[in-house]
Amino acid sequence: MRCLTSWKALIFIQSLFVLFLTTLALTASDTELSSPTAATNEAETKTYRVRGSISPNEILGDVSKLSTEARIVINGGEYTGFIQKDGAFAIDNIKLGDSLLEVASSKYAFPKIHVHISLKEDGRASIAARYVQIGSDWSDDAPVLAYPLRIAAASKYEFFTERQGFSIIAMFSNPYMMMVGASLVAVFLLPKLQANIDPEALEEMKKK
Amino acid sequence: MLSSISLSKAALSVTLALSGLSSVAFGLFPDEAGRIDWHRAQIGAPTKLIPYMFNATNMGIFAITSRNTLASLDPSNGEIFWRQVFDSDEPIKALRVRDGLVLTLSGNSESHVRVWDASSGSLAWGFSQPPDANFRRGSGAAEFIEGSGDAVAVVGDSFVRLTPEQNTPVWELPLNATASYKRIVVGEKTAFVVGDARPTKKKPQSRLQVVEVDLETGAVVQKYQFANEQAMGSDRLVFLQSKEYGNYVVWREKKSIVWFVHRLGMHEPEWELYHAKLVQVELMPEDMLTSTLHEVDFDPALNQDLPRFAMTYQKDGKTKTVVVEMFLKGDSQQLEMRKVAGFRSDGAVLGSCGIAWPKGHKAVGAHSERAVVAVRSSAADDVSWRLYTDGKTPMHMGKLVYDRDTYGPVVSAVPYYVDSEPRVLIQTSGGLLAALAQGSNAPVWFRDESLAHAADMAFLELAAPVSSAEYAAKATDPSVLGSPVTRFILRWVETLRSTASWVTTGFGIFGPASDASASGEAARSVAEQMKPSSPIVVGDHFGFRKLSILGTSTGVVAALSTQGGVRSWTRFLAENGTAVSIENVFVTRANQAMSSSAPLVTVVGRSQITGNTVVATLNALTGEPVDSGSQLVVDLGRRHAKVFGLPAVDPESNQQLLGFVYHDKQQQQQQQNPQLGIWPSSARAVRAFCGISQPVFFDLGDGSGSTQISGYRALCPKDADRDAWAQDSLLSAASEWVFDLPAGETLISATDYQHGAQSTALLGRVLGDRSVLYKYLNPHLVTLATRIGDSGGIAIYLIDRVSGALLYSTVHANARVTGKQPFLAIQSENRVIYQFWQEGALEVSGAKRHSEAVRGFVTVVADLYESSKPDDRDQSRVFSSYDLLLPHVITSAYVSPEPATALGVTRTGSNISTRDVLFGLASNKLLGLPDQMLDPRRPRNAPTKDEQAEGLVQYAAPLVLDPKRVLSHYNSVAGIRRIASAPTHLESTALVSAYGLDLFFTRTSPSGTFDQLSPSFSKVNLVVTTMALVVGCLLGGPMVRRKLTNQAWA
Repeated sequence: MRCLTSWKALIFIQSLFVLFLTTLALTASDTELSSPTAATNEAETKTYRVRGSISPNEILGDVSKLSTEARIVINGGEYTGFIQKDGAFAIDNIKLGDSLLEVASSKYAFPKIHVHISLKEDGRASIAARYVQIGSDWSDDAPVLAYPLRIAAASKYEFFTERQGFSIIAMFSNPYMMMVGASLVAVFLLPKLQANIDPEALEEMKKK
Repeated sequence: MLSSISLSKAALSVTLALSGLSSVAFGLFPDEAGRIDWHRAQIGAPTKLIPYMFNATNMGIFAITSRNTLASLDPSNGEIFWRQVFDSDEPIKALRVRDGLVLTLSGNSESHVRVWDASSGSLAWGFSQPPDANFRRGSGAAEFIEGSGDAVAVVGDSFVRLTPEQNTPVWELPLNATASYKRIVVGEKTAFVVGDARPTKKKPQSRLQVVEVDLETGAVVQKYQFANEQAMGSDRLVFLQSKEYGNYVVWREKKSIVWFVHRLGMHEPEWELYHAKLVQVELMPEDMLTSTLHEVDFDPALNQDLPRFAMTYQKDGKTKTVVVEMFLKGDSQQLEMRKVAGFRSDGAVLGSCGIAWPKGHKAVGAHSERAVVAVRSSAADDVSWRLYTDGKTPMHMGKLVYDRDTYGPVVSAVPYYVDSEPRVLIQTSGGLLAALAQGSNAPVWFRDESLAHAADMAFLELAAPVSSAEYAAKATDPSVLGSPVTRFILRWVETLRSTASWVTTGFGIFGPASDASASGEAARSVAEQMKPSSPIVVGDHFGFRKLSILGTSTGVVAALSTQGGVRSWTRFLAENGTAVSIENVFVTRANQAMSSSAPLVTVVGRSQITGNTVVATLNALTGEPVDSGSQLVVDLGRRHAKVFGLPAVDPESNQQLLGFVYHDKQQQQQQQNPQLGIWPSSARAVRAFCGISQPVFFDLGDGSGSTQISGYRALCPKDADRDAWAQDSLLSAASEWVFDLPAGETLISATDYQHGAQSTALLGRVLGDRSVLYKYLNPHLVTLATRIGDSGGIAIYLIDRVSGALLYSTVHANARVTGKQPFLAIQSENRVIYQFWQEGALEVSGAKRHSEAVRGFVTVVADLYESSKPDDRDQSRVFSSYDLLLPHVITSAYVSPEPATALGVTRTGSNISTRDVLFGLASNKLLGLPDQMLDPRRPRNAPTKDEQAEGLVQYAAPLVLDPKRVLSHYNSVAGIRRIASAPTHLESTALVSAYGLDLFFTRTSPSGTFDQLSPSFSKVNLVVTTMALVVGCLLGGPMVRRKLTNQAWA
């Protein structure tokens, strides 16, 4: 029993540590906007830097290719960021609230990410990033991604349709070819079948 | 127009069949890539060019451009090594290269300092400053700090030191908006920030302000002003930077004949006076007053502690240039200058060698890395260059045969070396970049960057090849074409000739593909590519080859073939030497094979000098002026508010009339109605205009920010006034209607004229039960989008341009439209498609499906029908805007797969084929989605049998990005701003062009290529099979006959 309690305590401490690290990693820009408003408003008008990186996987092994080909786009172009050779990126001046983070690449598809930046009671900011799909609900139940973000390519775009070569099956599955085939069967096989029928039975059939 | 179109059941069934086809027939085949399409990657007209060795053996030409692009070009062939395209509202203000790194400063109120890897173009590190309220426009500079990887920059209203190790500045110094700082001079321990001091009541005259800052701490060492009545960027002021001798500013006051020299950081004495002989040239006072100064070593890393500058002056009616080098004499530390080179430079553009060598690498070869080039046009079609390193004699010289009427005069020049061979990179005001070499009259390579500034484009139909013989005959003996017999013979001659060439090329098996891949630009010499000797006048059988005529804001009109992008002609339009900013291109006389008159293109732009409207009419096939005797660019003397094509033809020139709406500020203040000018303007043209059966309507106030849109009708003058018509006479207009936007709403955009008028194949839509929903086809439909207050949200209004009637309106409360999240709209037949950024709930069928957090671009499709009931049709034979017929509107909203920057629709000859809706995506793709996917009638639940018969599939909010529908496939088509489409002679196929920064052309068949043979169809196989059958018949015939004879005898 005691053992279980200590495990719980350890998990609790661990989660606190992770939360602390996440908060640390999200750094506010040093320069505050010159605003004559009250201190609370000042905190809300503060902007933040979101960091992350494109991690290599079997789809995209060399992320350095992306540095001149892709961009990070937040809220459809409100903020944009370039990608470094190692895949790292940082987007500045992001305000509190919800944002959609996309990797705009002409050759690779990437998952879309919902980024939520909120202020905690102690005035520090925290980030919660989750994968989302366009056209579906942005649920808070989806698992929160680790921060700084690590995004991997979901697929490489296949732009082309392979041209089909010569195929006997394809040729004979053509309805015209099937009609021709049926006609040939009628022309060549039916007389043979007729020849095999007993002449008496044939006479009987003719009479009928 | 509409009444002439009949609703044919046959056409309906074709459409149904096609809609079935289109769901399966899509996707490019790999062998079609680069054959049916072409892509031209652009960077825009450079604002700064620096050749730079980024490692021991490789050089790149680094450029920042007015299209917000940073690029590295291959110095040997001009190809793009890499490029980075910045946001559209993020101009790049500064470029520095050092030690394999590139430094840029970009943005206006929001500033971005970025350091790039010069070799790969990837971002090394960066810093962004949020928008600064105290920011002064024009302020901004950035420099590397030598010896460290750090940089200093003026961002917003601060001076900062940045380091790659941290994402916040090492220190930040507020500059308190007392000057527009434009230059940083980095010394050993301190840096000087220099700018134009803000005039105050106490000191109203313009002076330069210097802040000396400690590089370690960011503390202000001193701050002072100097140089009365001087401004940064003046051609009488230069900076000289030297690590050993200090940093100096040399200037001459406007009416002064002495030099002022100020050592930065030493404000007592503020300056020292030097007489005219400072530059070791004896100058008389009157010569001195003509002198101007030019910075030669613009990069402090180049000056080797002996900084140089050049002075140009007039003497005895000749222009001369001297290049001088600064040094300090002996122990006296007296500033001295020595003359390095001196030459005549009448009308020359000066440029200096800007090759910076990376650390640890020395100059390769025997050439000097510090040279000055003078480029001048010695004749109308000739540009000569001379490269000076010292003395009077040029070290290298060369020439370029170049027609200034094609790309404009040379505006800048930069010398560089490739394998010790000198090259001179010139730039013209039209946007041409060309690398020149010794011993050749043609450039080594060139880039036409004017195309990155394309403002409008028009397609010109070319004659079919079968009539090319007729074309030849028309040029030599037009009378031959009078007889149909000779025309018939000419066509047969042409057919036989093409058949013979097909046979000789091995039945097309071994020869080049039918598309122009082999006849593309790459197959031609550089000189031929730049200025083709003969224009393209002949098209192809299918109408795939047309001329796309582009008008650019740099004053260039260029005609490119839609096949391969082969250049046909180029023309530079200027007024008093200054490029005209072209806004619209109209083909005002189409290409008619049997007509003796050439097709015409009329270009409308604005003068950069006066702001007035200018018009130029060119032969659309050759680019030559129509009337060589008169002035090509005509200044209309007024500024137009809008221009559009009129449905009338000038009887004199047989060209389409253009209507210019004039409504200047004075007229607006006095609440006078606008006036309409016509072009060409003549008494006969006005009569032709007044002969139009329907009055001409136009609207005003449809620009961004407007709160009121007004409709007008052009009035015809009385007969007496028509006879007395003068070139600058104008038609008056009567006010028809006023559409006031609700309080607090301002206009975002309105669809323009060309989207409304197009042919329609089907007047209705056949439903599953064979009843018909009749389309509401109104050629005067205008879609307005307005911003509702500051809280966000947009309203959409569909109005009629003739009556001003509101046909439909809706509100999207969660929409947000900004410069970076644009609103896009397009109309096609009875369909309106628009896209906007949405924050929060997307309502589908009235039910909120998503949480408030949802973000995304939403595409809304609205179909307009005459009635909500099938088979219910307005009985009037002619459509009238004044009828009280309100459309029944069916809408659906879809979530866009990616942010789009432009919208378009494919156009085919008769509009029988289904259409693709084209999206220019921010991820540099051109996507074509089929019409059916965006159908607002898609059922929310599983489709019924009738709906299935109609070809409807169940609604799903997301529009899926199917890579097989990406028309641009692996090409990265950057910065698409507009999409144009033109029909071909094949109903299945449409030409598509996307332009902006890049240029991309392709052709697409939204319903499949139902009217073409498959590319795998082999004509040779057909011939061989037919021949085999014939041989079989010939051989088998006697055998069968013999068998029959034998049977008869048996």
